[in-house]
Amino acid sequence: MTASRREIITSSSSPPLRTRFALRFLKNLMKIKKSTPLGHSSSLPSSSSLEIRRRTQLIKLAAYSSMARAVGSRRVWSRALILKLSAGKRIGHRSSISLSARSSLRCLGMKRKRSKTVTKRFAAKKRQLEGPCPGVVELQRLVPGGESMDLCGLLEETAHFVQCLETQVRVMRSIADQLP
Amino acid sequence: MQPCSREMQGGMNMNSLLNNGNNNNMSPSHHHQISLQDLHNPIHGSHSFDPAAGDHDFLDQMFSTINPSWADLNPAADGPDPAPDSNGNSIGPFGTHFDESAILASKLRQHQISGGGGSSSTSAAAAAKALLLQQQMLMGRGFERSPSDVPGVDESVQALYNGFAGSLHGGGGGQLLNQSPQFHHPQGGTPSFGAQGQGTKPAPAASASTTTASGGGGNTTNTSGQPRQRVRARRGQATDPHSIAERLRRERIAERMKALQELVPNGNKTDKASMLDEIIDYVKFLQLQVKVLSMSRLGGAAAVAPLVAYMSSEGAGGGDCNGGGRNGNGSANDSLTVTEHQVAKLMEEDMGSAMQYLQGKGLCLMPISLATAISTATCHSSRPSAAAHGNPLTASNGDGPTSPSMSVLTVQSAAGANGGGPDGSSAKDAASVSKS
Repeated sequence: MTASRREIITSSSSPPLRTRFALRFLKNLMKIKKSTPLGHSSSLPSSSSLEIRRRTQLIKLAAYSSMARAVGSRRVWSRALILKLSAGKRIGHRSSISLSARSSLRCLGMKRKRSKTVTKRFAAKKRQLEGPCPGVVELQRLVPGGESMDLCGLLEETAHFVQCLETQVRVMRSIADQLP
Repeated sequence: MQPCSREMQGGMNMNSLLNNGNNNNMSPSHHHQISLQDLHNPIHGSHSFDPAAGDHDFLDQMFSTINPSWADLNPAADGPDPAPDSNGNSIGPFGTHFDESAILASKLRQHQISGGGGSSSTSAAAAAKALLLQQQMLMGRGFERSPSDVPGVDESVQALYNGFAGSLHGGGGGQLLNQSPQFHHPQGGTPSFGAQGQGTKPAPAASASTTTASGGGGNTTNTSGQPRQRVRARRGQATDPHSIAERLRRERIAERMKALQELVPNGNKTDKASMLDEIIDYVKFLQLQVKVLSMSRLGGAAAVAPLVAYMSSEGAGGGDCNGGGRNGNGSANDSLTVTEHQVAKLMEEDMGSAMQYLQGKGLCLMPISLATAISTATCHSSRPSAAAHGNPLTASNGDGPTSPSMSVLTVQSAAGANGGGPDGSSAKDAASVSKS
């Protein structure tokens, strides 16, 4: 009896990843659309490529950050991505992350750094011993937070990362289809 | 020759001891012991080992430990089949040496015995079991001694022991004769014959005995502390925790690669390196898709210019890249033609690089039938010029009239004469990415 109840609870607790990502991404998109001046989007010749690139960059960052936050801190790559984005935003860019989110990220960041140094030392030692093939280095660069992982964890992270990227692309494409 | 003689002495001592200790059939034991010595000597002739005084003392120590336990072992060794019994007894002291690999060799034997009594008769199996028990007891006892004694003896001894143990399973001396040439074979010339002896051992041993039941995925290991010779343990016989960890790690990596293989398209590569490359390409491709999609969010008509500008600026072989506006369109057109030629050239050499080039530009290839279908579909839309492709081999940059982002691209292609994207071939469906 209790087991079945527990199952029911767990199954209905979290919506699927794509829904979470879609919600967050749309929210961020609205924020960006509101923040940028509307005149820019309507007039064709006056839009400089720089502005457009900046806006593209913003949207891209919004997509990645909403995806990372939809995943949460369950994965190494999502944590690393959140940290990277928040750090970048703190430095220069216009930030759209709420204060509460930022503080929670800071806590995550502490934990992440501690584990990161330990794993980094170990991974570095291992790398010295074995010398990974160039593909591994490349993959580490591609996957966020991949530098501090050995091949085993890296592959797992990559699998989840690829899944999330695919959902991201699908959701974004469907959103783009819906937009006028 | 000194070491040889010492070995001879040791052998002799052992033989005498065994003869004393073994009340059962003397003749078969003689047989085996003699052949043992025959094998022993040539082995040591070609083999350089520790000339230190350890040899003789080592064997003496062994015998001293053997003696007290011999009484216990003998009743156990007494079986219905005395020949392998004595054989086993003669092997006893030879088999004991303090390497981990030896212990595990015996464990392997036990596994082989217990794992299936298929090929060997039950009596022989029982005798062999008893033998192995002896081995382990002896080794357990001898383990207190320093393991560095007589590294040279160990190899040959181990080789012989294994050979004999294997012959046990096969049942009798016939097997031994079969295996002795294999002993001689690895001896030829190489100092690390011990390793080879070990290496060739699995074949006769495994074939002679039942299938090894020991935990799978075997690795080879090195002896614990000996710098000179390294005894390779047999497969399926991990000795250190290191190798076990290695094996676990490798298995984990293999299963993760398999999982990734299913995720990534074109994941039929068997090679790990090429699979890694595929994964990398796919991740890059997905990231590029996100980038392009984020571009198309900027809104319908306004996105034409930026997309064009993007393509012309980001593309490798593009023409002069400018900002937005008509300039962008014009250069996009030029860049498209240039792209076309580039891709055609690349496709002649290597399809993969052509695909990558296309992907870098965010374009795709699709089958001709699909392209014509789409072009006929788009020609019904409000963009007639886009459909007027005289060239059937065009890759369509947009899928349908529905999505505004794709409409952007068809506008762009329409603006730029009739050239679609680069030439499309029917082969690469999997690589087709709609630029949306």
